[in-house]
Amino acid sequence: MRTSLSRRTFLQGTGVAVASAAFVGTLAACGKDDMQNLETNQGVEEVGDEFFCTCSWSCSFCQYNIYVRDGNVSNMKPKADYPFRTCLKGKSRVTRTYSEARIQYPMKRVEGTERGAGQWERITWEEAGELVGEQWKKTEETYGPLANSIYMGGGGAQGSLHGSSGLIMRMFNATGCTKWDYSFDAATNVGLTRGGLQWFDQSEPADFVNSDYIVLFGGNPIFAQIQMGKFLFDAQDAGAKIIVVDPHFSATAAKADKWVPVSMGNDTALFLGLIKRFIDEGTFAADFVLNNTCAPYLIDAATGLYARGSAFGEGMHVGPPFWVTGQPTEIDAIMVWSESEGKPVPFDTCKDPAWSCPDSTYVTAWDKFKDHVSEWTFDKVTAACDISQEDFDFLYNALQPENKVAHYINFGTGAYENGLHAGYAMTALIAMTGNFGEPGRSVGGFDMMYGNFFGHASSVPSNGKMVSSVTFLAACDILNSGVLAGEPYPVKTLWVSHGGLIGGSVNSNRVKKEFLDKMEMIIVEDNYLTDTARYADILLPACDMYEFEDVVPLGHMKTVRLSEKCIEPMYEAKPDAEIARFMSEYIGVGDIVNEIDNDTWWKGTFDDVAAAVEHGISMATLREQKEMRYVDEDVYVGNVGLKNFISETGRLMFYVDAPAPRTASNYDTSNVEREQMPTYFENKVTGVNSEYAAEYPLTCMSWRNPSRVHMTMFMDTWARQFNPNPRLFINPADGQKYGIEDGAEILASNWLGDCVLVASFNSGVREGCTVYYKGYAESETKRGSMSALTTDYADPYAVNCSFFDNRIKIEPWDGSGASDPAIFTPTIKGAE
Amino acid sequence: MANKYAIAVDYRRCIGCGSCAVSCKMENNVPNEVWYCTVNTLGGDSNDAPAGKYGSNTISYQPLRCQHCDTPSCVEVCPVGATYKDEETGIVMQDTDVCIGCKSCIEACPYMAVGAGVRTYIGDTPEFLVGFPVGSGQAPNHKANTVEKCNLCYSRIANGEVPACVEGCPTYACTFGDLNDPESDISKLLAAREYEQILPDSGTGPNMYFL
Repeated sequence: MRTSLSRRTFLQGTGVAVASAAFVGTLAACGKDDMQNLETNQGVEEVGDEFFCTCSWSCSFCQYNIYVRDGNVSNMKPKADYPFRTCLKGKSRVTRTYSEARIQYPMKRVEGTERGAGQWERITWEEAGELVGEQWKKTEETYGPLANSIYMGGGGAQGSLHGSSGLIMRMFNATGCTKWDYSFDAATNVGLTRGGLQWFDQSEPADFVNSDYIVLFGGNPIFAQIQMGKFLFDAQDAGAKIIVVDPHFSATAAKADKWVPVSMGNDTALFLGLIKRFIDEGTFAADFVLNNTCAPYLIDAATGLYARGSAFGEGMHVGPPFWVTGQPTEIDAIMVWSESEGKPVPFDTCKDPAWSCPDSTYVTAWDKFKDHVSEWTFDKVTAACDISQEDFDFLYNALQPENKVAHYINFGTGAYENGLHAGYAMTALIAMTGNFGEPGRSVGGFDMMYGNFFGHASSVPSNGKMVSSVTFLAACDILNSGVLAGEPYPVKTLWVSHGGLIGGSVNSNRVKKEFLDKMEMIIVEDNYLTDTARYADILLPACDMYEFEDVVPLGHMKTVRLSEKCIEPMYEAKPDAEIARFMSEYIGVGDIVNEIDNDTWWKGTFDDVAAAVEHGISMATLREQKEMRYVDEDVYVGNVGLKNFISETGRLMFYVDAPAPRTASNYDTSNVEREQMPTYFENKVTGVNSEYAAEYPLTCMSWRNPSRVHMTMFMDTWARQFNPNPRLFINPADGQKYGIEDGAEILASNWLGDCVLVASFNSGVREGCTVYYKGYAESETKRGSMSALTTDYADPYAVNCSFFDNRIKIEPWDGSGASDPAIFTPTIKGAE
Repeated sequence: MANKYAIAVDYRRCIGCGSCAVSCKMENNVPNEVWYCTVNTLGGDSNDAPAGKYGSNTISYQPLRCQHCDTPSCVEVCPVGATYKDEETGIVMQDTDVCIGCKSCIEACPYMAVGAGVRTYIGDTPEFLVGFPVGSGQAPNHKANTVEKCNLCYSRIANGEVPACVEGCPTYACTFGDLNDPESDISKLLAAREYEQILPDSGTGPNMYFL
């Protein structure tokens, strides 16, 4: 049956669609097509065909059952005997799949209209291919391959084949274009990794019950990873105490046994103070520190570099296997001072390394670090982070090595300029207690990276080319100057796939003016007419998850999950890998992309991965079993035997002699000394001494929205209906101070932009601070957007979006400057 | 009554996410602007606002739906018998094929004052986000000029399943069962834990418990 239903809501039970009511809302992209059977009525007898599907959003990656009736995704149930139950976001995916915000067919911006004006013309896939192909080839011929660029986020689609690391990367790699590294959520991992901590070697969540304490520094999994709540509550039932260190009474703090309130963005000071206390009182895990950290390593006092075996005539030593590939490594061994021999010897052969070195040519990392943290008295700590003596004592006592502690680390501490150092200092703190390798003792949290090892081998093309990564945080500067690192770097084309750089990233007004406006062509491949898609010249419709088969290896448990195809691709949409197959022919790399069929891709996913081979995981077995474990243990415990530290010597490091930036950038990286050890410094914007503090008195950070992941729910869905308004949580005292009433519309603004939100008084938000729920699109606010208020400056070593480093002022909104709803209601020439 | 079905919600495990409300939406194919289950904040003056001063805050969430009372005031006032107490299960049912939309039940129910979603009058032809019925398909018909509410997933219970809101709780905060069975999980839970109810003095005998 074909219908011409052109409104975003539907009337059921009449057998005929009635389309006379007024248009509701402003989000609809396109009219409905014939993919929905509107004849069906209530009183359905049939359960429907059952499928196993897996969310690949950045939260818990739940697998669940989908039921299809009459060709429609009609019901969803939790998978039997599976602890992860789909939340309101997952349940609402059905309303999203059939949303009128879907991009139904390829479109181009109507010539002569402005980007973002909402004037579109329907075109064929072939026409889209011709237009994109002509631009891509012309740009490459004129300016070189790097003048074509891609931006990918990925939190919205992380399947193996169709996700942001899927077959489409084979296409982009084959062109050798520029890839804008999105540069977010990186600081914590860089800090942990610099210290040798493998964040994603966490124990499985069922191990939480074995802990005495579960400690979260700035993490908010109750809203960010809703399904983890079950495991945290189970642990509480078993006697574990949950401690949350957070400036605000977050959803997780609300469930904690102990909330430790601190000021924003100063956790490094807290960690250094706790480390000093462990050292001063001699309560650190001495054996662990001496034998599993860099403590006895000798530093050349003159150069600050480690003394290495090659300078003493030593050959190369066998290092720990490289943690990514498992391949053996060779290292120039770092030297330690042997007590018995009275001289430097390689660390891996020394039986009696000294804590201190009697030869003044060298200083041990331990002595250097002790000296480094010695200034962090409690008075200095509390001056920086405003912790009470009682809470500081409580934390110190809870973290004692005899207690089994699970460290649950998410992105909170890393969302500041000093976030890398917070991660690095956290590693050093955990190094004092050696809480690893046994049930109840673990470090982890955002445990999804391991799954990435289930491969994307076939994303490497056969022509030897690869994309060249450049941080997105440098994008505006590069487009303005045409220069990167002193060399000409023209960029003319942008293809956005699996990402929303407007809304999902920072400083959106600047991104529009200084990045997007300067592109000759913007191509956006997406399922939905997002804020970014609205800014495109060419739109390519991608399928939603129920329309293709994929594999989701990411998750809190050590399993790989299948996501089955339930329905045919809707409208003219194609799965992302099929878009790559089709479009690659037009941009000149079709033969390279299409020499890999899907079966070959799956072989690359599993056949070269030892964990998959050892556990019999192949596409054939996964299709049969739907979910498969890749570890032997019933409940995996991370880092047993202390073998999984990922520094060159396999130890935790609190002194790194030659630290490297996460990625190349145009930032000044000359302050190497600050990077060698975890170091506190005040954040440029949120710091109390910030140059912005007088004019913009309120700091501004986000909470993960419990009803959406990133920018995924801007269209009308059940989840959105549950939590429809963009809100700014403010302390009632600040409300009074700035003449704001609870529930009123307010204008939040700063030097970058503005946004209208609804004031929501919350006495758990620290005075002088504000918090907003992340993920509301420009179409959902009456003026501006929150991403227009977020800063894009970054730490030179983390090269990371400082999402929480913002300041604003607030005032009652007088209704001025409201957005024109018309721009969110597209007009499509050639639409049915 | 053979059964006396009830739900107990553990305040400590409920995070107020609304997954129960959305699970219900899907299972019962609930129209736009209608919720059979909502979530109240127990704390400050508005949604998601905690009580207390900074540093000593508290907050709880309270899913709210029809309380499936032992002596429901809605049943007494319904002039056509659309609202009735099911003898077999104790569930307070709402038959939209019989309902005449007089709203007497809405006026009589003391829980209407507690929050949204206990009962909803549907004036015009109901509208939906998708163009086909979702959920099990066993929910009552949705019609204009009727009152709708939670039927405790009557058809699911008949099939040996728990209500969709209970099954859909990702933090396992909800326990469903038969209070007439002393061996049921919920009977044992209520025997072992302190609990409270909403408006326990209303005289209606609610069957929703909060631990």
